[in-house]
Amino acid sequence: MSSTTYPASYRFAAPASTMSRSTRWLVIGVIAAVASIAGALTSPQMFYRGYLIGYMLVLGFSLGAMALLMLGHMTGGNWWMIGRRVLEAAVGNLPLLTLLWIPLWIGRHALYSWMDPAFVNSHPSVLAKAGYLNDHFWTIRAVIYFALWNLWGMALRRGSRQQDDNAAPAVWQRLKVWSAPGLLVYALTLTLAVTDWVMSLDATWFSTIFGMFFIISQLLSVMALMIVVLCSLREYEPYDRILGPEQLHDYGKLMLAFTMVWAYFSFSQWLIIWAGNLPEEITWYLDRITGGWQRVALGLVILQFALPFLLLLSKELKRDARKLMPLALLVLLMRYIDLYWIVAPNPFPGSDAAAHHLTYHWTYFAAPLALVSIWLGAFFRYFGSRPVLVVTEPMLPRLWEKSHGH
Amino acid sequence: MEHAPETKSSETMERLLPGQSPVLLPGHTLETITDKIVSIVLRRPVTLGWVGGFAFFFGLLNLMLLAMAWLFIRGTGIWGINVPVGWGFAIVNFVWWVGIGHAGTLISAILLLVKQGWRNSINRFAEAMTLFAVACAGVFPLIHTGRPWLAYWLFPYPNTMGVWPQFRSPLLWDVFAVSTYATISALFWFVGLLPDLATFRDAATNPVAKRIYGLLAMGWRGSARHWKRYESAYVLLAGLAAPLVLSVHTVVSFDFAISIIPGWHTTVFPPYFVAGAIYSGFAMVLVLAIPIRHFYGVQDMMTMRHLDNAAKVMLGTGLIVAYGYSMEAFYAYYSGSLYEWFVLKNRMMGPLAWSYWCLIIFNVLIPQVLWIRKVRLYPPALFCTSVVILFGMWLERFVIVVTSLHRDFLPSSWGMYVATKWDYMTYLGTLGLFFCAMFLFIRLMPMITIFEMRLLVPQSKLSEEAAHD
Repeated sequence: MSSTTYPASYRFAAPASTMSRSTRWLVIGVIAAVASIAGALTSPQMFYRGYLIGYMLVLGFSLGAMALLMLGHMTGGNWWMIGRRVLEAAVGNLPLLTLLWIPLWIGRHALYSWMDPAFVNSHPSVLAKAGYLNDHFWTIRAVIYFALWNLWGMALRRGSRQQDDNAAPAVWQRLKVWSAPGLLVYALTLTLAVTDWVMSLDATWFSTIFGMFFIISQLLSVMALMIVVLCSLREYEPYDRILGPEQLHDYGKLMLAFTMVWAYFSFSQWLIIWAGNLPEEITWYLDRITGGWQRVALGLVILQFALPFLLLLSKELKRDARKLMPLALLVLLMRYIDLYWIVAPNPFPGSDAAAHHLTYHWTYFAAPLALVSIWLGAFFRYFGSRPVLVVTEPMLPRLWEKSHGH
Repeated sequence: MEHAPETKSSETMERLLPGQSPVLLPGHTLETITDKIVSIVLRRPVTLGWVGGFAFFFGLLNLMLLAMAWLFIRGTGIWGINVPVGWGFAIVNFVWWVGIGHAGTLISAILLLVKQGWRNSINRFAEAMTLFAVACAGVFPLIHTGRPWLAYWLFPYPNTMGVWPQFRSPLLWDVFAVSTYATISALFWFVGLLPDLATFRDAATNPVAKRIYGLLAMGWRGSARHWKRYESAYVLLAGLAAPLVLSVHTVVSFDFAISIIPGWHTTVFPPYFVAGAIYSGFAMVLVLAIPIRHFYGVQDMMTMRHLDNAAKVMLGTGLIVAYGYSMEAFYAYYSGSLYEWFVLKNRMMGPLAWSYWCLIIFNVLIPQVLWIRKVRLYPPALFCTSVVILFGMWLERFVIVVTSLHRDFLPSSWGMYVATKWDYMTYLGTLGLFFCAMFLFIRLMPMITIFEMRLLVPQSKLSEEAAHD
């Protein structure tokens, strides 16, 4: 089996344009980062909040990609074979994200009211969980999350590199062995991480679906990102051959499915909390449906769910890159708006009142822009350094022959 | 040509692991498939085993009729329900049965839409399982009303009594969700059966059987136009049925989550109920499939691949369910709420702690054996695991319903729940109803879809390719 020679014709270098894309994004990233640093010095509370919005978005790209990559190792599928390098490049950014987490650690007191003992002592329900929600344990947990994420990221990348030269079934068997428990680790660590970093912004609020909501949000983000990247490369070899309408159709269907599940989780959480109308829960929504935030909420319902849902029902749209790509861009934009809507209305530390009025601050745009640009710069650098297809992939010849016939 | 089927049939597979079996074992032709499935119903004599099994479950069914007759005479007071546990076995069993039905819809609709070829041999009997499970589920809310003859009051219809249902109540949503589900499932099942009923009509020699199958086949002649209409109708129905896999159990979870009872009111319920439904449903699929393939010798059509895949689905959904339990426990602490915390403590250490720990053992710990490939490929072990999971999923609903209700906010209103013999008889009776129906189905209908199995035969691939070129 391992002695089989694979046609050299499958071995494609990434399009040369990826490197220039990387440079372009890095330049934008550096400019936005400089602006953000100015923001950090002048209005730190605003800056850190903006940074958190951007950070959760790019973390979602990398972790969501890791989850899809592992899912693919277990189930296969054409969409996965074609988009695999996109996912791997996104996972390759995990060490970068580990570094980029440090500013959040520095700004933790500006972000979380429960870091202040006076606040904890005056809130019995926060005091009750102070053994869990405290400065030290919060930091220790983050170190554990990153250790696990990087461990799995490294294992997946190493296995993939081995696969480039070695077709032995043992190699992809090993990737499978990492993937099944990896998904479990992903679900649990992510749930705890978003509880630590996002849910605890409102120290008294809780919702048991929150982790699952972030899981599907991340899968949706990375699916949209994958569609945008692949569609933008569709003119180049070998994508011009393997990324036909048939394959795009599959991506469109997956984005439709994730959009529906996103709406399902969001609506379930809303309905249950609205119907219960309990003071410890409903306040979170009250902060988000008053003072101008209701317009953002409605925007999410329409632009993150209704419009993509209705458009993605069309078979023609799913098969046409020129239409699917702008829609995926809209989904990506709405992922940012959704995180904005979740993070920004929380009460600021030091004041019990929520940010009642729809708040804009330029760092809410600059910091996410810096993070996304730097993330994309590193992403394209990694993407450009690997061959586009995994030539030893057992199912590749079938995909290749099928597309050749067209 | 002799060995051609072997190489070809392995090509219909996705990646085939060493030692993994295909979805249809080699050696079949179009004719042998039809012949094998038709002969199970039309030519196989009724065996003593079948009669014995049927008689046993028919006995159980009569237990239910007895319990129900007494219920209608005396009222729901014969059950163990009282204040504070007003929802006992009836709702536990209802949720359990509805959940079991979900696997059938998942297999027949969602796996069809995502083009999973391995569904083809198990979908028909899984759909039948869905129908019978929904019927069993429907029994409980109906008799729980105490006056089942007035059940139509649940529907909003203009009437002189001025009775109008409460649209804000999830119980009413349930009426719509479950009745829609039953309707779509029945339609989907029947439409899917049409071509095979025609095959039965043509193969039957007994004039009465021929006539009945002929009536049911609704004039199917297998013309190209018939097939075209059939294909679009079937995909359309699959599209309608697919969201029901999520929506029905979501609405069932709302029955609990919309309230503010700690232990019920929690946002993770919708996805965790859906996962639990599929979990128990696949367990029931295996509980049925393993004996069926053994006694009717259809191991070549329901192969180890099917068992392996079903086991993997169980493992996956089981882990989601376990995730749900951990979320409940973790956020009970994290909420900092006295009542949330008490519910958890009461479940783990209260008078009904046995049910919680049995649930964890049956539903979380034991099913982890499914990680081991040898267990997934050894039918007796798989059968036992599935039975354990079915018990576990029943206990899950028992824990949710009873432990949350029996001790609420005020200690003065605490109580205990003990099911009576009438509760048990009714529950066992629905098992009788379910298995009686399955026994009849196997003897009277094609339990494996003939024409979809024929699509898996290499012969059909060849002619299809020839047609395309």
